Amino acid sequence: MKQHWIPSEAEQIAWLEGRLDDKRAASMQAWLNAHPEQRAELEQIQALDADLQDFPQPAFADAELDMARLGVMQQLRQLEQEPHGDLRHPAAEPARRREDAVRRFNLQWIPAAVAALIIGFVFGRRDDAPLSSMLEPAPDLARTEGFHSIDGREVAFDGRSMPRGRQVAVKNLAVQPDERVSIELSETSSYELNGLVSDRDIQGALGFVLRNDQDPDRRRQAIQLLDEQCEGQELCQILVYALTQDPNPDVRREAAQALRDDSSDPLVRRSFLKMLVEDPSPELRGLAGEVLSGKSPTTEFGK
Amino acid sequence: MDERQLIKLAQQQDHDAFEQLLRRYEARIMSLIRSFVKDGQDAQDVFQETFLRAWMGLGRFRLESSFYTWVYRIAVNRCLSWHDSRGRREKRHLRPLEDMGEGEDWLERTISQQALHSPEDRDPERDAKLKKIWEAVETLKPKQRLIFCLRYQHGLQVREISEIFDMPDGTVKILAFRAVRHIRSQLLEDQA
Repeated sequence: MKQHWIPSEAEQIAWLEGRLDDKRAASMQAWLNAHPEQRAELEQIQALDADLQDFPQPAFADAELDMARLGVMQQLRQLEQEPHGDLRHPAAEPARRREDAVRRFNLQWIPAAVAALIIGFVFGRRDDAPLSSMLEPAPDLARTEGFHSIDGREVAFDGRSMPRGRQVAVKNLAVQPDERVSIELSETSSYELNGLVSDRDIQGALGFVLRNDQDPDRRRQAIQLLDEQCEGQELCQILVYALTQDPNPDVRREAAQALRDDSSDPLVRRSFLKMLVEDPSPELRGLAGEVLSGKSPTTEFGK
Repeated sequence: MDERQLIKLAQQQDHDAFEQLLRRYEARIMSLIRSFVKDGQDAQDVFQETFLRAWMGLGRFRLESSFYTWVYRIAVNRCLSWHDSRGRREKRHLRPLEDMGEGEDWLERTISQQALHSPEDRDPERDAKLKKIWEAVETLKPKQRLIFCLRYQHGLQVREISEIFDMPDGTVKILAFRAVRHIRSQLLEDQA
């Protein structure tokens, strides 16, 4: 029985470039003869490709370039005077600097706000009910659908997939100067993922790092990378897990900082309540109080 | 002074050497960014972030590599990062898209400037087609759009683009092919 052959995109491109061998070219020609619409499409694409050569570039004033260049050199000098050498330093990220200015927090009213919140809980609860039982538990993220975790769902990378249930250790997590993230996982053999944080597979793998890596510094780094690049409910769930479940206070603090702007989300709010009541660290309970007190920086400073 | 010498000096924290490198590539990088980021202030930010990251990453740059594809790669990553964070800022109501400010049409300005310099070469039909093409380009996915800009505006070869994106040549060709196919279908829709 004759197989029905449809040329792939790669084959179509090769045909346009004249790189198919004689046999393949003949098959392609026969297929195009039998499919005049597809033939017309390919010919139009070829013509358009020629038309697009030397498509104009944006024109801009010299002053715009001068301003941009001066801005760079000014920030270089500023970085020299403030030697953090950290890409997250405000001087290195003008957009983030503007956002951080809006997010700065007035702490003077915090003790009174937290006291008011706790008093509200105390007088609002039933006499015989423990405080923590009044809070809905944060969801069990191992059972939450859509959570990006290697032991929760398959993550495909390097042409292979990691099936459910396998135990994998994180060997290394590194960010290159060109912002590519390298994550090395080890099972019986090692796998290495390489990609941008905007790639979903990398996001899934960072979620895995956050849940499974023994190194708290790498777990914090995973939060920082995810917070810079990702958005949406799935990110919230990953960060809520870290906020409520991570054994290391520095990692929980990192998650709290990443989530503080999302405190209007019900899931996030419940998780901060849980932190307020149950976190062993007084500093983190205070931080949760700040977030829950309702005076977010955008309300305080927003115009 | 040749580029390798400038890079070596810049790696030793020489600001003047870095500024010379910056001047060599600033127009190309700004052109790429302006094709992707409409708002003038945002484009300035992305430009500055690109070269600041280049400065900070210079210590690890290997002289055997191509400096300009390395800088292009940083610029591409910054553009993609800007695109992702724009969505987050809209969600957090910090910079709603409709308040982005200029949103100037660079193509309109470019065509007008070309008309000023060479009025005899003005072709209204070609100009109209360019505008329609660019409208279609603006609907491409971010990576496809950047590949379009690098290939057709900046004239980069497939091998150079694959180095910038760290993806195989075949993948670059397929993404470029899909971009052109998308533009074609948008042009046909406009005609219908």
